[in-house]
Formats: sequence, C-alpha cells, structure tokens
Amino acid sequence: MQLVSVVVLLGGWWVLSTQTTPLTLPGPIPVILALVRLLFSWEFWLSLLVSLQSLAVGYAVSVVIGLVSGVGFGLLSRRTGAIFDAYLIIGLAVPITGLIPVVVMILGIGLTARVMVVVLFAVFQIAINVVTGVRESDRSLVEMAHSFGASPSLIFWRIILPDAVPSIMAGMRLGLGRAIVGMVTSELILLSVGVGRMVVKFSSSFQTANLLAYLALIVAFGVFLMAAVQRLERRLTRWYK
Amino acid sequence: MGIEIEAVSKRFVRMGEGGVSEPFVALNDFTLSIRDREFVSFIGPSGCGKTTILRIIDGLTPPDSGRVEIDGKPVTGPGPERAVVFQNFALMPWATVLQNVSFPLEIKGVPRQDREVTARRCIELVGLKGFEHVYPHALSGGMQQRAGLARALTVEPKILLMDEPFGAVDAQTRHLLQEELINIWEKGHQTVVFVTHSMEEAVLLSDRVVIMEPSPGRVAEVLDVPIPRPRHADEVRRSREFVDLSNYVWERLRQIIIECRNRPGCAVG
Repeated sequence: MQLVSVVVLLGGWWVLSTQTTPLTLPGPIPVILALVRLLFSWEFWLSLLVSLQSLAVGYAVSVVIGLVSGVGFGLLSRRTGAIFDAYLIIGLAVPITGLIPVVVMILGIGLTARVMVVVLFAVFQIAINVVTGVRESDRSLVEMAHSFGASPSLIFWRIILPDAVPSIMAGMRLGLGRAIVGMVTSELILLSVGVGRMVVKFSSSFQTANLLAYLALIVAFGVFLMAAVQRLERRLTRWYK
Repeated sequence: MGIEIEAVSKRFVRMGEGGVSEPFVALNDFTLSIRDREFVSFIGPSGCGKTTILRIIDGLTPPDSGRVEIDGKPVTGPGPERAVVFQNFALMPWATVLQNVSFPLEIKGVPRQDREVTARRCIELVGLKGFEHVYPHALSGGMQQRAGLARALTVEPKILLMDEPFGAVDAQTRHLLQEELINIWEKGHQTVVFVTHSMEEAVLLSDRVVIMEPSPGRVAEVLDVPIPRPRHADEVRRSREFVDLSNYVWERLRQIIIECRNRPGCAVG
C-alpha cells in the first residue's frame, strides 16, 4: 500500500513537471540525480555537520534546563506553579523567529547565537511536558509509598519521576522536532553556515533540483533523528500497555 | 496489637450547591476498641467515614479531635507495625511483581538478598508463585490485589488495614480471595481492620462488624459474629447463622440509608 502511494506521488510529480519549466518544478529524475550527487559531495556533509553542532549543543542545553526547571515548577503547589505556567505557555506560543534579530543583536551570529535560538525553540516544550508529568503523578502510589514509611526524597525518585517518564519522553520528542526547526530557521535567517546557507545558496541561484534534493535529505535526516527518539521513548514506556 | 479509637472527629471541605465550599463532617465522636488479633469489619453506605477512619488509624490523615492509640502509644503517622492493602491495588506499573512486593522492605533498607527471600515467601503465600517477573498490566485484578496483599505482609505487620480490597474484582474472584484471606489470616492472626460494602463479606470474615452511618459519620451498631473458627467459607455461607446475621446487617443498613435520605444534606444510595 505504501509503495503504491509512493508510485502515485512520483507519477503525479512527473506529470506536473512536464507542465512547467525545469526552474519551477523539475521532474523526479533530475532531483534523484541531484540527491545522489549531493550524498557524495563534501559540501553537503560539511553543512550537515556544522548545523548538527548547534542542534546537539542547543538540544542538550534545552533538555537540561527543561528537566530541571520542569521538575522545580512541577513540585510547587498548584497555586504557585500556576504563576510560572503562564510564562511557559507564552514561551511556547511566541513566534521565536521574530526574536532572532534580538538574539543576533545580543549574541552576534556565531555558534552561541544559533545555540540560543535552538534553545528558545525547544526548552519551553520540554519544560511544559516535564511539569505536567511531575504534577500528574499517581496520588495513590505516592500515598502507598508514604504508608510504608518512604521519605519525600524516596517518593520523588522512585514514584514521581518514574511516573512522569511518559510525559517527559513525549516532551523530549516534541522538543527535538522544535529544535530542528529552530536550527534550520536560525541558519536561514543568519545566512551564515550549514543547512540554512545551502538552502539559500540553491534557492537564490535557482538550482531547484539541487534545492529539492537537499531539502529531501534534510527531512530524511530529521525523520531519522525523531525515529531514534521515538524508539527510546517506546523502550522506556514498555509497561504502559 | 490493640487499637483504641477515642472520640475521633474529622471534617473536610467540599464543594456544595452553588459552588460554595462547605464543611463536610466525615466523622463525629467515633469511639471504638479493637482487641489484639481481632478481625473487625467496617461497613456502611458511602460517606459514612469508614475509609477516613482507616486512614486515621494508619496515620495518613490526622484527626481534628480525639485520639487513636495502638498498644497505648498515640498514632502520629504511618508505622512499621501497620500495613495497608489498597482498593485500587496501588502497584507501580513499571516494576515487576517481585519488585513491587519487596518495595516496603526496600524502603526500610533491607539488603536485596534478604528482601527477595521474604518477598518470594509472601508471593507464594498468596498463590502468585511463578509470577515474580510479570508486570502488573499482565495480571488480572484478583492477581494484582494478591500482590498488594503480599506486599503488605512482607513487613510482618501486627495490624492489617484493608480498604475495600476486593471491591474492584469480579464476584467469583472475590469469593476465592475471601477464602484465601481467611486461610492467610489464620496463619498470621494479625489484627485486621477491613472496610467493605458487602454484608456477606463482613460477616464471613470478621469477629465483629461495625455498622456505620453517615452525616455525620459515626457508629450505628457493633455486631458480634459468633461463627466458630476455623471457618470454611462455603460451609459458613450455607449456615443458618451466617444467613441470619447477613440479613440483619442488611436490614440495619437499609434503615440507615432510608433514614438518611429523609434528612436534608445527606447524600447516599
């Protein structure tokens, strides 16, 4: 079934491409050729590596900040926690793209700035999920542990945290998605390095086949990363049948 | 260990009509003596305070007034001589049966070897041998509750507090679990406080049945169950004494429910 849908898509694409110029929409064959060429070009892998730098550092920082702050806010009483909820939601809803110029003003256009953008994209998502996970831990389990004499710290590490793992992992997955978007966006706007620079280079010189091929490879890479996180998520929440 | 409950009162705040929070008296002037090694059931309509008094005995909630003493010592919080069996099992879904059952011992700091030995013994006692490495989601309700019971037994409690432990399982499993509980109890002879909604269950298992009424929660009547021990569940269920006692408890409860309905602010049945 999957194969049929792919064939249909490719067929439709080829038909469309004959109706337009190669600049607007090249057919599947030139794009596939460009794709293979890119895979063997050092330019492609270099750009990927450079972008990965900011993604890796930015995501790691987001995870740490998101986990620590999420746990902190989640453990607060309902009323106090609600104060911070508003800021987290605002952080999630704000179009970070619009803030990039501000980041550039403060941090320039180097790695730090790109990392900062990735963090801004991802950290709120992770934090919100951690807060939810910690807050919605099973009360009856907490009480059970209390009735057998568990200290608050033991209750936190053995009951609240394990119970929050599904929410936390979902946050990590969603956060990665946002981090990837942040990484590409920051490079598109900053024009400096990596994936964004390649995209701009191809599009501004109308190398549409190369552009499409490049985007396809980036998307494939993003999907690969997300799938890896999903595998991890599934392994950690095995018992949730 | 004997339990002395004296003049315990407890009130909660809950949302009343029109969204105004109003005080709700869960218990008022509740007094009862439970003898060492006695099996006592609390029965009554919802809202009569039976779960509340169980939680106060365990030290999970403090009373507003009055006191609870165990062997002369006042209750200030949960203690090693008491263990609770919960209605919704309260098993950690991410841990195996063995890990769940040994959890209380882990809390106490007992080394792994020793606690596994004890846990396995309790698992076998409740009939779950072979299921040590199974996760709760793969167990039936009855089996999960047996795991909960095994867990409570690992700390060798002198007092077992059971909060409608068989309420969430089907009728046949319930019958079987009642029989098994009688057997287990006759080996350990702990003091048991058993909260239930079922008249037959209360009479079958207990030495005394405490019938409670709601609004405010208090003792309506304490009934002796002179059925001789050791009890064999099926024989007991067929006996005249059992039938008469169960009917009496039901009649009493029916009176309480109807009388409550006639009173404003009492919400049962």
